[in-house]
Amino acid sequence: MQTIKLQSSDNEIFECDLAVAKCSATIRTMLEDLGIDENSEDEVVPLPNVNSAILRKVIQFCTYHKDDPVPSSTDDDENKEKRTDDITSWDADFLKVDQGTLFELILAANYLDIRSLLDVTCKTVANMIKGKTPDEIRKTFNIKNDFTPAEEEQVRKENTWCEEK
Amino acid sequence: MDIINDLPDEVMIEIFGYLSPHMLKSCNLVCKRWDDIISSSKELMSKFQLVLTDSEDYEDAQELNQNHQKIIVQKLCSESLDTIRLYNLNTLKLCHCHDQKLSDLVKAIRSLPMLKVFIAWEQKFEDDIADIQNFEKIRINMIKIECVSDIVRIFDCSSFTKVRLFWNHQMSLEKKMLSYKFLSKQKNLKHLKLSEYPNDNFFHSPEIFKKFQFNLESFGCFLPSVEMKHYKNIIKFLDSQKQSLTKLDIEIQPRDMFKLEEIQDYVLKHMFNLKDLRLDLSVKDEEGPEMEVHLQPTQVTKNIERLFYKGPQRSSAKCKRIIDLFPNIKHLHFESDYAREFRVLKHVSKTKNNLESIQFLSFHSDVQNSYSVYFPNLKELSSFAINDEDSFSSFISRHSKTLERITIEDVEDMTELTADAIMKCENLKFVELGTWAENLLDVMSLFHDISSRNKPLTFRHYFFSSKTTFKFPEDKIFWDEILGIEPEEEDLAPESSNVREFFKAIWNGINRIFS
Repeated sequence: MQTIKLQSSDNEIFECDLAVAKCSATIRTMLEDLGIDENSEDEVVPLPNVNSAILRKVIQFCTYHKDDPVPSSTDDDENKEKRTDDITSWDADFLKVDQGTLFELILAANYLDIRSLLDVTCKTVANMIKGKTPDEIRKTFNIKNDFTPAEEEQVRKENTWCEEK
Repeated sequence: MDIINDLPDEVMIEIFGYLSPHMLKSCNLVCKRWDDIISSSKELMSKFQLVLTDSEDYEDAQELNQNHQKIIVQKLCSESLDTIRLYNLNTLKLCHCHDQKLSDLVKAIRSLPMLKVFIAWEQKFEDDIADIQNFEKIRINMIKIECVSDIVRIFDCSSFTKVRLFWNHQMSLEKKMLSYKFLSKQKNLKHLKLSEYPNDNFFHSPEIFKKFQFNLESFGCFLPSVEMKHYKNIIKFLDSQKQSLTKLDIEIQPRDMFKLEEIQDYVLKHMFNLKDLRLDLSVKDEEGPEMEVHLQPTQVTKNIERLFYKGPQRSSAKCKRIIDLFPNIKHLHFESDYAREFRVLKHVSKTKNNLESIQFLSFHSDVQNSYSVYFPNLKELSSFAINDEDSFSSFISRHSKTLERITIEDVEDMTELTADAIMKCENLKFVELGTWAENLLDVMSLFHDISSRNKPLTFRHYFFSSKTTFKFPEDKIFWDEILGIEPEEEDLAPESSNVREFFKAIWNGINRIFS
């Protein structure tokens, strides 16, 4: 089995299957376009945006999902509302982490361009938002309301077309 | 601390993409950033839009609730009007409605008070169309629309604040006169931008300016090959707008530099309300005669806060003299050749303590005493290349307390020296690095401790392989800017994912500039 070395921001080296690393489109592109020799022993791919704790989780996720079929083109469901209730139990367990870790995973998935991980993490956050009032959302994520009452009223006014009568 | 707001906009859009229009409205109210992201995302706003192509769509649409703000009509049919009336619209987009009867639709539109934006594309308008009111903004592609006269008639009574006209040489003078007529009805116009192809001239007659009733706040024009006899008209136009104009952007490819000087002279002596000035009077022929600078600082030049100067001056002494005319600028962007540029920079640092942002090409290796260049309030630095790294990195180090944004378009020469200097900037919020060479990995590995910073930092880099040929998607700019219509994916025909990524990076950059 071919392997590759990945280096986290805190300089820890992870050796993992090439197939696993290639779940990341960013790494795939780097290998292809920059002509890194996949067989070379001492080639290390630096990932300055990902720390070791998160990289470990990412590798765990990709190892589990490496044989998943590539999802078919999404042209047909463009107008349908995207589902968020289709998270598998393994993924749900995997994502039982604190908010900080969840957001760091999202950043890593975005940076490394791992579609499946980005989808499932974003779905998880979307589920945390669903069904909540603006105030409940602020509490959930510890967000400060930075609108002045007048500004809030303005946004509310612009939204009225959507309020049910 | 709200950690969720450390996520970049693109990811927030991804998350919001899973929410219903109704939930998105709750998110709008959470905080300013969420409101901004949602309202400025085309993708998310498209959730509020309805595409109507055949009668079945209309039937479905009538049953849905009214969570749509925007309707795109791709095909008109008998159900169209009833459906459109059902919705509380603020945007209606008409495209591909060839050979359709529009007069009824237009009447219906007139009864919709919320309507703000109206976009027409390849649309034939019939003779019996009456005027439409209440539009605030318009984008019209003058090339594609066959019946300019109808457009003008339709919009005659409307009031716009922003108009951008994009003409080409195929347009007849008659059509242009109609456009002038349209402009002459615009009392509330604040922002006008003109783009012209060679041999066309907006300024061909001063008579037309007399009819304009608007007072512009910003005016931009790109005029290649201005005819000699029209220079005076440009000045006349500026004179008619000088009371209200605060922002002026003139790019002219000159034929006669003495005439150009006249324009410059006029602007700097008479346009007292200008704050933001971009004068790009480039000369194509490097060997041409140099323009003399004999100006004195004026009240106009004292008012200018933002300056982009790319003039025909090719000696640093002249460049210095030009910049010296502007004692109070906070934002300076100038271009010259490397060595000259540094001499100018050094001079500027002695005379302009309050500079907040600066953009230049790079430091040249010939420079001496670079340590003397210091701006106590510098927040933004943007340069094309690094070139002489010692000077460059020490420049960054010297400004480590104040710098918030750094952009380097080409990091080919970068080593730890610059990377360390960048990472030590205490208040840095945004770094953008680009490379044309295949050394991305090397550059990336220089930024190892980026995630250990205690302050959030947006870090963006892009590259493309030199093996790939690419064509800059000018057409996409055109579509997107003028029409607000996304081109089909295949129209761009990128040859590899690499090119696509590069476009994406360019687009991020462009969006940043426009935002």
